[in-house]
Amino acid sequence: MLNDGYLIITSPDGTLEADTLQCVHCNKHYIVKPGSGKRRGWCTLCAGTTCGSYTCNSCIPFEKKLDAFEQRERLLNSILQ
Amino acid sequence: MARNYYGNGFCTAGTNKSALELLTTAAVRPKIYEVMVGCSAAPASQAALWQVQRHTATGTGTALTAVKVDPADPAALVTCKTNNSVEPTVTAADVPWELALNQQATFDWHANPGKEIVLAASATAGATLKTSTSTGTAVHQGSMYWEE
Repeated sequence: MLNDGYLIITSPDGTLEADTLQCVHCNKHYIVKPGSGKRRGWCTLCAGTTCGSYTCNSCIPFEKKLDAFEQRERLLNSILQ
Repeated sequence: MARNYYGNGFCTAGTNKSALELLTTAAVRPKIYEVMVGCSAAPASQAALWQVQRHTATGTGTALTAVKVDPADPAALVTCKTNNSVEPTVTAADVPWELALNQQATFDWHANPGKEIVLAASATAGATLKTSTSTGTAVHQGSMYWEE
């Protein structure tokens, strides 16, 4: 699987490099840790990984959430003006 | 065509201490594609949880001018603040990036093209790079690169 991001940590103990994947529903990047036991998901509609959070189980694409947030802001601004 | 900018901030590590706050406008959806954190204080074994968290209301901090990656570009639409005295009102659990880090370590994370952290186009929205928790109080430096 191709990564969505890349992380480099440098410390006195050495350098650690890791891939990150991005949740298609909340935009979050998380570090890929094989064997960590953390359950992630895959959205067949968005064709992408999800972070495993309960709120990201249902398919609401992040783009749609952004649109809803911006529409709400515009509505609030028009009411307050 | 997207234009790239960056901001360098700092904060004294602690509970919810912002090193760099980005405030968007209704005209643009900034996309954060790189985050860097390090500490210039004397080496000590302390740990902090670093987060990029979305916010819905800005805080109070020292204004910072976003730097243009390409000098020919116009000024950034996003405004920056650093070393906040009043923290922004963050959105609970909306943390698109986090990493626990020892004070002696530095990290550099970058997103692939198309996989950036996208912020809403709104005059009140934005994101802040902060220490969520910390065992120490050393001054840390943080940078974010974004395109708009």
